[in-house]
Amino acid sequence: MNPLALLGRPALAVLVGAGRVVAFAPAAALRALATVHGARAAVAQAVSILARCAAPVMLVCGPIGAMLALQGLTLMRSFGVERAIAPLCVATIVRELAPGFAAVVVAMQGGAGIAAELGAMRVAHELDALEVMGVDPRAEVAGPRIVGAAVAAPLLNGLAMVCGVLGAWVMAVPVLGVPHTLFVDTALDGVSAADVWLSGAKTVLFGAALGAVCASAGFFAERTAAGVGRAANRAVVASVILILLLNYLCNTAIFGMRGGAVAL
Amino acid sequence: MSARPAPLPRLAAAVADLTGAAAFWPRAALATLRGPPLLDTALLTLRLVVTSVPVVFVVTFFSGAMLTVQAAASLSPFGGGALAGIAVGFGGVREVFPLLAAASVAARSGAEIASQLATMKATRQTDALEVMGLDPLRLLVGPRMVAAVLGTPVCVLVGCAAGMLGAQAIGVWQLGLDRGAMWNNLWSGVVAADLVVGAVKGVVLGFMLGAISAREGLAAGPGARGVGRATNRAVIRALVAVSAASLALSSAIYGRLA
Amino acid sequence: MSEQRAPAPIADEPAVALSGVCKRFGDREVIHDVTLAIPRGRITALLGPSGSGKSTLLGFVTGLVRPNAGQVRVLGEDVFALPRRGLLALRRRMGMLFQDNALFQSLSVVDNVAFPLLRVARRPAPEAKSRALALLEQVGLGGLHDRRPDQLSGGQQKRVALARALALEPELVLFDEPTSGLDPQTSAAIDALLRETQGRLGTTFIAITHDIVSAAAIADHVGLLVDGRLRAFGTRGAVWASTDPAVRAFLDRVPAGAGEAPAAPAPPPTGSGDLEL
Repeated sequence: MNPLALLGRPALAVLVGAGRVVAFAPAAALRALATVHGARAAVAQAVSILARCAAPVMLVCGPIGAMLALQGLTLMRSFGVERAIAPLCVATIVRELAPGFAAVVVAMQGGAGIAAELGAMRVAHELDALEVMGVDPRAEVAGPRIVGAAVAAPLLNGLAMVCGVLGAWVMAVPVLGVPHTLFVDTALDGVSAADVWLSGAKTVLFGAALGAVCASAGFFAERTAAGVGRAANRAVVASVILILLLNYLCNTAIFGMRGGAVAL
Repeated sequence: MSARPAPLPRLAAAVADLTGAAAFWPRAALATLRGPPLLDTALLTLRLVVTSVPVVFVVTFFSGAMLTVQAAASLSPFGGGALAGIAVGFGGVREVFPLLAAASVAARSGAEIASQLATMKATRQTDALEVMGLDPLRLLVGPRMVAAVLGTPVCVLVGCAAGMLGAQAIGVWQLGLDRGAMWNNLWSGVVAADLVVGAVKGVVLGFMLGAISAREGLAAGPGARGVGRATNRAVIRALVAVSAASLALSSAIYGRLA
Repeated sequence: MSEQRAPAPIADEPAVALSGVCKRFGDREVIHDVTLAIPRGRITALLGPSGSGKSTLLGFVTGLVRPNAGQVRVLGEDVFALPRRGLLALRRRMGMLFQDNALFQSLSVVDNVAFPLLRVARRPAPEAKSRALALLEQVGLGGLHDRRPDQLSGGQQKRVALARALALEPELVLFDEPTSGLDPQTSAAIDALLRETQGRLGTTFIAITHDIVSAAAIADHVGLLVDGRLRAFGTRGAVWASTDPAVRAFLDRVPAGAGEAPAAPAPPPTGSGDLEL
C-alpha cells in the first residue's frame, strides 16, 4: 500500500463519519424537541447523565484543582507573586479546566454509555422494531440523548468548578500554607460573571457535540458484540478530540485572534 | 426501569464490584510477570503505540495551544507572553500533558482492551481457553498489561513534545510572540528530571489503565450490551483512577520540593 | 382445528404480492426473480435453509430492504412507491416479531406491550396499560408483567413479543424465525400459540423459518426458497407432496448439492428441525 493511501484512508473515514454525524444528529435532536414526549425524554436523559457523571466529575476535577494549585504555587513562589495564586487558580478552573474536564468526563461516562446503549439496541433489533412500528428511532432514541447531553454538560461544569476550586483550596491552604483569608478574599478577582456564562455556553456546545458523535456511533454500530465495543471506543476518542478542538476554537473566538498578546 | 433495585443492595453491589476490581490488580501484575507470549506482547505494544500516539498528539497539541491562549490572556497583568510560555511549559510538562496523554491512551487503547476482552468473554472464547487448560490471564491479559506499561510512557513523552509544539505554534503564529524567545520560555521551567518523572508516571498510569480495562473486559456481562457497558466502565474508571494517581504522584514527588 | 377458524376475509388482493423481485448485495444475488401472492387470513410459512434469502423477503415487506427490481405490494399498497409518511402508516397496520424478539430492554414487560399503544396509537396511559395486561394474559403471561425482558426465558420473551406485535390489532403479522433458539417443547408451545391466536383473530400471519417441523405445525400455505429462488408455493399439502427434486432435497433433509454423498436418512431425534447448510 502506498503511503498516500495509508494516510488517505483514515482521513476518508473521518470525513465520512463527520458527514454522517452532521446528516444524522441535528435532525434527530430537532425532531425529538418537536414533541412533548421527546422533550420529556430529553429531560429524563439529562437527569440520567447527571446522575451517572456527578461522582466521576467530582473525583476527576478535585484532584485537578489540587494539582493546579500545587504547580501554580511552585512556579509563582519562584517569581514572588504567590499572593495571586487564588485568582489564577479560580480563573483557570472556571475558564478552562472545569469545562474541558467536565466535558471529557461526560464523553467518557455519558457519551460512551449512549454509544454502547444505542449499539446494543441496534444489535438486538430494538431500533428496527421501532422503525417497523412506525416510530422514528432517531427522534425516539437518539434525539433525547443528544439534547440530554447538551443540557447535562453545563450543570456538570458548575459542579466541576466547585470541586476544582475546593481541590485548589485544599492544596493551597491546609497543605501549602497559603493564608485562608488571602485565598478567599482574592478568589474572585480573576473572573467575571461573563467568564462563568461563557464557560457554561462552551459546555452546552461540547455536550451537544459529544452527544451527536456518540449517538451516531451507536446508532450506526455494526450488528455484533465486537461492533458495539468498537462503536463505544470510537465514540469516546472522537468526542475527546472534538472537545479539545472546539475548546481551542472557542478560546480563540473569545479572546480574539491575538487576544492575550494585546497587553505586550 | 421499573425493576431498579433498592439503594442498599445497590451500594452493596457497588462495594463488591470495587473489591473485585481491586483484587484483580495483583493478579494482573502476576500475569505480566508469568511470561506472556512474546509475539503477542510485541504486536500489542506496537499496536497500542501506533494507535494511541495520533490521538495523544492531537489532544495534547490542542491543549497546549488552548492553555497558551488562555494563559497569555490571564497572565497579561504580570507580563503576558513571556510568563505564559514559562507557565505553560512548566505546568504542561509536569501535569497537564502527562495526564491528558494517559487519558487519551485510556480512551483509545484502554477501551479497546476492554472491548476486545469483553467480546471474547461474550463469545465464550475465554471459556474455551480455560477448558483447554490455558490461562486467559497469562495469554490475554499479560500481553496487554505489558503493552500498556511500556506504551503509556512513550505516549506521555510524545504528549509533552506535542503540547510544547502546540504552545509554540500558537504563540508564534497566533499571538505573534518571538519564535526563539517563546521556545526558550517554554523550556525554561523544565528540567530533564521532569521528563523522567513523566515517564515514571506513564509506567504507573499505564499499569493502572491496563489493569482497569482488562478487569472490566473480563467482568463483562453477556451479549452486545455487556460489551458496550464494559467499554464504558473501563474508560471512565481509568480516567478517574489516572487523575487521582497523577495527583498522588505529583504531591509525592513535587510536593516535597515546593 | 382449521374448521373452527373464522372464515378468511374475501379480498381481491392478497396480503402480500411480490412480482419479479430481485435483490443483489454487491455482486451477490440473494433474491432472483421471485413472484408470489400470499393470501389473507391464513398462516403462510416461507421455508428455506439459512442464507436462502428469507430474511431479505421479509425486509421487502416491512420496507426496510429495497429490491433492485420488481414490485412489492403489501395490504394493497405499493411499498416502495409510498412516501415516508405513507410507509409509516402502512407499517402501523403490520406487526412484527424479530428473531431475537427485539424487546426494549430498558422497559418492563408490560411497558413493552403498552409502548405501541402509547407512542403509535397515542392512547391514554391507563387504557394502554390495561390493554397490555389483557394481551399478556392472552399469550399466557399473566403475572409476569413487572419483570424485565432479560429476566424471562426465551419462550416467555417470544410471547411478550407476540403480545407487542398484536397490540395495534394489525392486519398482518410477520414472524422472523419464530422458533429459532427454542427447545423442541417450547417450539411446539409457541407453534400452538400462533395457531390458536391466528384462529381467534383471523389475521394474516407470515413466518419465515428453516424449521420444517414448525412449518408443518402452523402453516396453511408454504413457500420454499432455495438460493434466492422460489422453488415451490402452495398449500402445505401440495408442497409436501411435491416431487420436484429441489423441494424433496430440502424437505427430506438432504443438503442441497450433496446428492452424491450418502445423506443422513432420518431427522435427528430432537426433531427441532435445525438445518444448517
